[in-house]
Amino acid sequence: MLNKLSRYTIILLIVIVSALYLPDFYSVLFDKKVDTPRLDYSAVINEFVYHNYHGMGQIEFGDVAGNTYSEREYFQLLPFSYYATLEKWQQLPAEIEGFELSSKSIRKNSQYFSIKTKDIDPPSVPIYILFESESEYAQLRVPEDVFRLENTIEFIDPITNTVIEEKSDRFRQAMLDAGFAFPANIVAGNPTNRKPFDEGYFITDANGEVFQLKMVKGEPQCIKTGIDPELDIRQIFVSENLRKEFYGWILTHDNEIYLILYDQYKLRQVPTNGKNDNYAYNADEMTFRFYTYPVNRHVRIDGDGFTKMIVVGNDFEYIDEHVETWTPYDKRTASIIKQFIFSFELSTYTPEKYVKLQAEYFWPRNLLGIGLSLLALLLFSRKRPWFDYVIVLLTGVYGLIAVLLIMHEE
Amino acid sequence: MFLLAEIIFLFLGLWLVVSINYPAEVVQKVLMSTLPWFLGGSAVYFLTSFIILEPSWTYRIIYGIVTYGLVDLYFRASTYDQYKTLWAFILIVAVMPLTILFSGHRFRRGIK
Repeated sequence: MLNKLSRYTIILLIVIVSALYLPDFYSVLFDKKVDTPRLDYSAVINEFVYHNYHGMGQIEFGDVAGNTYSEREYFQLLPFSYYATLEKWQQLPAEIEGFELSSKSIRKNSQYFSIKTKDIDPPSVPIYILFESESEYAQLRVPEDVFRLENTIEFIDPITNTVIEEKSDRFRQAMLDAGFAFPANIVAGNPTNRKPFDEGYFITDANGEVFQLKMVKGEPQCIKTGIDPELDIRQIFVSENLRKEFYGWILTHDNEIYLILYDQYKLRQVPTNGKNDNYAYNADEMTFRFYTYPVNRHVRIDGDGFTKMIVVGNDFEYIDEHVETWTPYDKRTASIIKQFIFSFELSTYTPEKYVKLQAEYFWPRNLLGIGLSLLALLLFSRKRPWFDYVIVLLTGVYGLIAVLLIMHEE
Repeated sequence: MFLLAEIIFLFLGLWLVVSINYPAEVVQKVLMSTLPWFLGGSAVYFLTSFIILEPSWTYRIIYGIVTYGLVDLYFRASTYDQYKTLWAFILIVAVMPLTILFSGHRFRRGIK
């Protein structure tokens, strides 16, 4: 009895391992890589352009109207991306739409950020550092204490691992004075000293209100931003930029994105849908990119099977949009056949890049693989315990491999 | 049993040493990051004895491949506290001691 139980344990382990690896091996062998275009918008010809890597150093440059370009022509169409190279070639145009072009002016007036699935709620230690935002030094200095923020704010001296009571009290009082209701919920900052200045932390409190916490000359400064608490905030990102247009951006649970403007913390919604709602943005599956250039702004959303780009003006007035599509992974032949062969697949990474064992069943397509496995077992390998058939019925090919490898012992 | 005691001893020791120098948040992350490694270590222990007891070389090779696949599961994190739920991983380790019986049975029967 124990001997049988032991055998089925081994079979179970083999099923787990093969369900983890075999579908991957299959995809590596048979799934054809699709060359996906990288969309961009040329302010020179006011047209969407793209380049597409075909492997072996072959790159295709073109626009959506059907013209093809050489690499040099393509670079000239996108002076805001390739200004350094163009300046070296002395081919940087003097001005576009009234904006005088130079490396310096472009760098000063451009900004980029992206929201990837792995940026949303990543694994992190809830201990933060607060920079001095009006420092006497040219660079930001990494402070000598850290703080924790949940039911209260506590500054910790990392050398002795003790709470600095005096500073904690001052900051707690400043936050309470500003109307902060503990416990804190989302704490968002940009804990790096490789930035031009510091805007501290954006914190949501128990009532959903958003506060900004900074340290100015050693003193706390806590400001109630007045951002609508009804806004279902999922994550706040902070990024200091010398353009000083926005502090950061907010991602909501409804997949909407807002910029937090320097102008009295007003919110400005970034369009994720153009005129039509197809290929709607979903933060769990897609990558969002936002480019600010001197003459316009680009929104690019990349998902499985499409890349969508929306171009808006400096004041977010709609200019143009374009979607390029290709066959998504689920609809490719290799992927469909995979679902017929294997009954299910185990994977360990979630889209947010956490590790978690999760199974995906290919119902009802997997019936074919299970049926064939059962048939093979019946035809070629009779005389085995009935439970072997149950195993194959439940796990298909994986079970077949396992029961054939590990022979039954009397 | 001895293995379990050893793991608990090491785990508590780590807890003690880390909590002297670091705040509670860091301690929690350290322990949660090392837990899969302890599980992985136990998996190696059980599966090695499972391979060594097995008399036939063909089976040993099969078991070796399975062992690699299973142990790899516990070292998939690239940053701290990346394992979201550990229950499935704990269960897999928990059934592993059972596998040794089958190898032992074959060993006793003297299968080549």
